[in-house]
Amino acid sequence: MKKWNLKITALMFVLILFSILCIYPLIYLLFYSLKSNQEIFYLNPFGFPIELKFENYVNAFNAFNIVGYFKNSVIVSGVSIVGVIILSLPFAYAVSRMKWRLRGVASTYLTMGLFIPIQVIIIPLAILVKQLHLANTYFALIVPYIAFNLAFSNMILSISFASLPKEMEESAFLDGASIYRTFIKIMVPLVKPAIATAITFIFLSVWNEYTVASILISNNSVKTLPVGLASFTGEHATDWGAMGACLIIASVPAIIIYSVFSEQVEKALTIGGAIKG
Amino acid sequence: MNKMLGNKRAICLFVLPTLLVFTVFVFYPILQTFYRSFYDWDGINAAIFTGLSNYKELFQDDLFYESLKNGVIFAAILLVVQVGSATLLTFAMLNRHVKSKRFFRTAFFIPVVLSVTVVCQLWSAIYNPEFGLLNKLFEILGFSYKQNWLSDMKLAIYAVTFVNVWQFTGYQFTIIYAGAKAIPEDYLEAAMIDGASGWKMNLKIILPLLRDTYRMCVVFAVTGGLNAFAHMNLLTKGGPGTSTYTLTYMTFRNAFIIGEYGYGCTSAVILVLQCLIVTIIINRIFTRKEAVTY
Amino acid sequence: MKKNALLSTILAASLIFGLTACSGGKSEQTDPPVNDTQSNTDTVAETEDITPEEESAYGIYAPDIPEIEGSDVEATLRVCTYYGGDSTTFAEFAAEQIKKKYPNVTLEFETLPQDGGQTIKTRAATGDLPEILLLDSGTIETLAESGSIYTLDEYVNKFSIKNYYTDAIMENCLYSQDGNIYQFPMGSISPILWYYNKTLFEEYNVKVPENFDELLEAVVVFRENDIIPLAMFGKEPWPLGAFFDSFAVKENSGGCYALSKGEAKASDEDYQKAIGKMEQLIEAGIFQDGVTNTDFDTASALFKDGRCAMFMNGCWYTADALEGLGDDVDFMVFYPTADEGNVEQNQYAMTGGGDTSGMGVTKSAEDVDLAASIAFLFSYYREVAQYEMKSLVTTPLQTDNLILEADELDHISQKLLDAIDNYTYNTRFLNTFPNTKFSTGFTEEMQKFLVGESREDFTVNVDKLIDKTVQ
Repeated sequence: MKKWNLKITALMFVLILFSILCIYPLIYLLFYSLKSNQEIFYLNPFGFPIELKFENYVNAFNAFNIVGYFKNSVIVSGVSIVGVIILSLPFAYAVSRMKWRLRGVASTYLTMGLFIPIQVIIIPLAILVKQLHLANTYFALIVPYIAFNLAFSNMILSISFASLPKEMEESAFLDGASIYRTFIKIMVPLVKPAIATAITFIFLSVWNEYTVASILISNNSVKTLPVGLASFTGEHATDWGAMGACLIIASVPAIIIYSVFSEQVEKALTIGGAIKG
Repeated sequence: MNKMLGNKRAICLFVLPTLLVFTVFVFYPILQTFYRSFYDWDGINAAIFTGLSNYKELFQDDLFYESLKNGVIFAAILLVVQVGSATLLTFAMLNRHVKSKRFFRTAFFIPVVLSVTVVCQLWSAIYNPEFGLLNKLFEILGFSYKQNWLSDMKLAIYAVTFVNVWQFTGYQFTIIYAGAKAIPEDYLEAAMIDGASGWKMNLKIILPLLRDTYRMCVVFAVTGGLNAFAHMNLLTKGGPGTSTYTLTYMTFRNAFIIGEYGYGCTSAVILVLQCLIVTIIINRIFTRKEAVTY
Repeated sequence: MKKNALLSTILAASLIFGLTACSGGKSEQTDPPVNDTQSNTDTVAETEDITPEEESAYGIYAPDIPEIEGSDVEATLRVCTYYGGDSTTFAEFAAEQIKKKYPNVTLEFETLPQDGGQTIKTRAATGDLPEILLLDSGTIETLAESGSIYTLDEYVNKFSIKNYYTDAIMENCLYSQDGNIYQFPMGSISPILWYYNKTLFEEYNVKVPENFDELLEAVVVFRENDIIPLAMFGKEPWPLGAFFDSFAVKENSGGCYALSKGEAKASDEDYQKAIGKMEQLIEAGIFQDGVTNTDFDTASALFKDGRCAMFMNGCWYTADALEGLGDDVDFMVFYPTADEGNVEQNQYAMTGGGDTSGMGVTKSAEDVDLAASIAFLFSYYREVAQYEMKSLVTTPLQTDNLILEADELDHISQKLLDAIDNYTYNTRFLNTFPNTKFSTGFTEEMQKFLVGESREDFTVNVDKLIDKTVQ
């Protein structure tokens, strides 16, 4: 018995250490948003602010239309997530469980979406968006975001689909259900945890995305939150504290979404496990 | 049943919309990049066709080889350390005796959520040779091993890589953990009755069942490493000198800073091909004839 | 569950806190003037002859521009320029002045993205540039070639801008490489200065150097006492070029600009001399550790906190330095890098200088006359604000009709004003070289040199770079 306690205590110790290492940056950011430039960079980068500069938050709000950009981010993220899920669910299912010759090729083809460097396709993409008359609308961002995230979503979902027992559809077919009905009523609910995981990651990727958002949208009323961060950079100096304040505001939804969805994933997995067994 | 699962109309309906959106918005721009790599172009004005001369220049460019090397180092470290740590964390979270799992899980994910800008500023401060945490830590522990972490041409790439490893371990962890939790309880219980427990359970039972999950994680880790950009751009701007260049950074620098967009496309093409080949190889290694089912 | 809920609640609370901290949209403008003087126009003697219409909400004097009449036309124009921090104040002041002439024109500001030109170039490719755009020598070349910006030669004459800008600007910063004018000047001819901390020099009994030997001695003494001799932000390219130039100009006033044009080689005897001096200083530890990775804010913080004795930056840094160090800070009128006894050679050859930068008009503008008028008004009033609020003595504007907010010039600006007429510039900021391939490669070589590359390797590599990149 004693042996157990030692091991477990050591393990807990390591885990706590690592957790501190992970949580500290958030605290760092919180302090950062309340410090002056000099404190951030040299005087006191790591500790509690010497002087609580709440005006950083005021400056952040005055620098640009935070509330408006926030709203835009929410809209763009929301629609993008829905779009990705709607498109990739059937695709993942077809690629992992349906029978056709090119399914492996299709899957690998889509994987290319995982590693294209944005820097280089940005000019062709921008021209394309303009030619499709999407420029400076929400769709200028939503459609590319959907396209970029299909690959990832497909990977997560197809693995989850593939792990379901082969005979899953059989009973439904025997009962006379069509493939469509089977897919929607039976298969999709079984991969809820994967969907929740996919949603979390897609949200993060879209919410924090800066390059495409900055380049494709010039109309202030459509801009998303990360783009607003650039407003703090002046000609010769940058107001980092205010930028930190803006980042805190930007990070909060992401953490909340993660907490909420990871709970869903936990719950769904434990229930799912019982059914599958 | 096979007939149902082979229903051509259904397959088309399921697959085509995705393929369409993807082809238009991802593949087509990549094709254009490929096309432009044969030109001398600054991105806006008229392009001059130059055939393979961009490629010839690329293969003679020292910067290309340095970027390649750094990409491989990055990928290897991500693979081993990041996926490895994520795996160990998963095992820890699966352990019955560990408490407050929800707290830990959320904690591990926080770095992933933070913007890269902030993470890099934090680590810039930590790595600072004069007043950074890292050297101070060594001082406290009594080592005289102080380094110019980000300013040393040999060390810089490792220092930058480590930041990425740290930030996205939570990402890999979430995926592996979800995969592990998807294994039904009674499956594991049956294995325990058969005598497996502790490490044996982890290595011999759980890991093999996560084959597909790991395939995905390995692809992410390796292509993420080859593709790296954000961290070196923020921490060292490719420096000191060019020792933290990666192919993506090289592409960015050529396309925008120097204004040789065509040449930038060339390195981008090599990058995409590299990632594609690597993905195919990884798929070969990891896939078996049938997917894992329980 | 509890811990998670607690965490979520805290975060939600901070979000709400953040939102309520908002004072409901744009309230009174921010930053009071940095100069430590009153901003109360009543006490400035010269304001007796200012009529109320010429005052502004910012408390500074705004002269009229009679060449532009203004009109009632309604329009919305997008203006992309510096817009964060102090720049916001300057931009808003200019906007206020523009409103007087064009009451029905709305200006939508966008911060100039500093991402290596990605955004601007991409927008040019899609034809989505803002009507009025801040240009510099880097962007002008590409944009002009692609026909994205208008030439402004006729407007320059129509508005008689030579009545508003200094001769130096008109001669050096107006015309682009192809002989046309694409911008109304904004941005000054700024020398790069060696600021230093007087108190530190006194404390350690070090003479403020005037030549290389004294400089080397100073470096050695400071190092022994754990003070950083010179803080530099080597992460950005141009400080590295500036450092190189500080030594090179004494031998060849063309500095590294001449190298980029292929007019000289690093292996030339005079450049070798300069490189040799740099090597000695680097080995003596002139910079802080991690110099190639230090960004501006960190380096500046080190200087303002008294951890380093000297700091190199463009003269716009004066206000910032005074804020941090007050009377402790001063600058060296000429670079302390010449041989002892040969100080007069190229004594006042400086690096830095000006660039063809300013507000231009893009093809997105439907009413070119209107856009050009506004672009000029913006450029002008923006510089008025910077001059009057910050005592920027290197302003591109003629200052006879302008009134400084401060009662008197701070000691650095005064010293600079006295020295400026002697300064000559045959080299410039590294990031404004037309030969960008050279400047990018040169930055990388300098970084390597700073972290220990040998002088021989550096020379060989730079020469190779010149061969490769000079057409």
